[in-house]
Amino acid sequence: MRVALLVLAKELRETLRDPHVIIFLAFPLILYPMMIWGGVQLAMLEQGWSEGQTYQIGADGPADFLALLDDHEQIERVPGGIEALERGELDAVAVATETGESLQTVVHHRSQDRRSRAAEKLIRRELRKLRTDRTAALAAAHGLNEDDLSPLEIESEVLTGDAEWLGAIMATIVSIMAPMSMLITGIYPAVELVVSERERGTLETTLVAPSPRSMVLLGKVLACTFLMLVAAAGNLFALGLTLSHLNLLVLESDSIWYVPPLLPMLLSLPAVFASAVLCASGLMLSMIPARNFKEGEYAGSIVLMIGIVPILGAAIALMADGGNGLLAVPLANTVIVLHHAVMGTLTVVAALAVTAENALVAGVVLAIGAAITNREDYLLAGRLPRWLQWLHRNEAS
Amino acid sequence: MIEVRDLVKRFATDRVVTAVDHVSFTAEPSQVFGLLGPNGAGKTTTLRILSTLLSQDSGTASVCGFDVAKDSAKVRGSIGFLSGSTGNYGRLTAREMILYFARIQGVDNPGARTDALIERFEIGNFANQRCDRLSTGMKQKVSIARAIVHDPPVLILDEPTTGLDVIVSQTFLRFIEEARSDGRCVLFSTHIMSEAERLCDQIAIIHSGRVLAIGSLDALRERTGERYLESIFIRLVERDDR
Repeated sequence: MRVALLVLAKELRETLRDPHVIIFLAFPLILYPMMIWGGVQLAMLEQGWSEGQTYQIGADGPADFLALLDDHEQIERVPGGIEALERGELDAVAVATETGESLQTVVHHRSQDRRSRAAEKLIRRELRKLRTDRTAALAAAHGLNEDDLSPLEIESEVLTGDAEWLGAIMATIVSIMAPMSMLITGIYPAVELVVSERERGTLETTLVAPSPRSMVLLGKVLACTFLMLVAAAGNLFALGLTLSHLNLLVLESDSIWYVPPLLPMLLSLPAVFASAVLCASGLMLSMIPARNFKEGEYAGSIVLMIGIVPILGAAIALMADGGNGLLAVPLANTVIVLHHAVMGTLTVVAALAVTAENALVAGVVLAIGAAITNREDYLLAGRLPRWLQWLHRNEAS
Repeated sequence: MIEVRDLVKRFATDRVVTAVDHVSFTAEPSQVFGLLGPNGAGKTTTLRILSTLLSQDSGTASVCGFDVAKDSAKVRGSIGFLSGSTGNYGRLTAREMILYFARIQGVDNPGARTDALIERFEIGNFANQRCDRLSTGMKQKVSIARAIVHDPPVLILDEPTTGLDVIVSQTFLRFIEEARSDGRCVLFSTHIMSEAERLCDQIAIIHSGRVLAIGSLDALRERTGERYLESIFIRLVERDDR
């Protein structure tokens, strides 16, 4: 174990001096807030732009309809119909026809034209005002009060507050994003720790030291695990920032916030750690036959694709029936445990069972890795045992 | 110190290639033993088996009395291994690199040992610089210090001067001579004849995985009737090809 810890310390020291790794770890901290900030700014920009335009509208209909359009400062009513619209000479054409006591309106526009889409929205907004006026007039004509025209009232009473609503959203996002980001961010360190070392010729210097290769492998798996957990924590922190930003901008409230309960979150950590070790072991094992960086990335991508299946399965199961049926599936169980932890419904038994299960599967993957690396030159030369060569054909050294 | 008997190693993928074919030799302390052969002769495979990086298919090999297959950890503790392709950890400093290997080799007081090697190989001026910023000569000094950090009685050097300029190569060759004077057994492979002529007490000429001849330079001269090692080598290889 001393050797594994020495290798872990060396790998972390070396890897964390790699600017690529730092950028990789810091990237989500910038990406998510920038994405939401950019999205909101774009929406605001679009709104500001549409409010500053004057639209050329062709219109036909009763006097109050035409007067409504004429009164709006952004609308310039011009002659012309659908043919002019098709030629691009008009932004929209609004046609209204009296049918008994109702006014049937059709707004023609070109969906591919940004100005035309904005004109259509504006006309529809103005038509809602006309509907209110006409409803009042209709009620008065029949001797009714406008307020009496509500034959059905619907009210819903929410027992939980907005914070719980936000908590449910957060639980879904966190439980899916954490294992997903662990897998994605683990690929580069895994390639660096095995394939790049082999290419640089530094791996053989470690392998000729009088220490079991399984311990060298374990040290590398632990280093990869640490980096994956740091990356996942960074991702979740960035998501928190993003949700907070969204909260302020979209809900226009800084009072709605959800803090996951501490105890269930702490209970979930061993299960998440065991899951990270499993991901790191799988990634590390996939690097053994890779002969160069490109093949390493390819092998890591295959592990990613395999790992995404249970994660997405758990996400679907969460929506369908809470997902407890997937507690026996590694990685899927991590999604379920994290979801319950964020919601505060995680039980000690479930947390311990998932931890033990993930640790057991990680142990099996590590044992396969140790058996392969201890017996022959596979770790050093980038080869697989003969019984596994159907997975990856390559040449003898 | 090093004893190799009937060593065989085959690689099998699409076809079976015998890289080492019943190789036998013995190397003693205070001796530089050279494995001389062209590329693909089986030198690297033999040295990798002795370093426990590869396992043999048949035959036996022992280093300092420890069997390479059965006591691989003890063998690794007895050897210092260095090859032309050996790299340094680029983002560690020279000091961190030597210290790391002192610790992983289980050296008592690794800090003091690191300081001693830094002084011996005149690494002090660049000890705190990252290895990827060092010149080739500086890197080679760090590699040598790393290889002998645990004071091994046996050095296994696989074409250590490949790709080095004349000055750095000279430093390396002097290091091998010093190792012999210190009583170490040095097993090194090369295809550079002048290096073998200068250094080797015993030479094994290896071709297509087989040892064609073994002995001192004088013994090989006597056997082939040729004066220079290059001529001896060509004579033996041509005779084998026929």
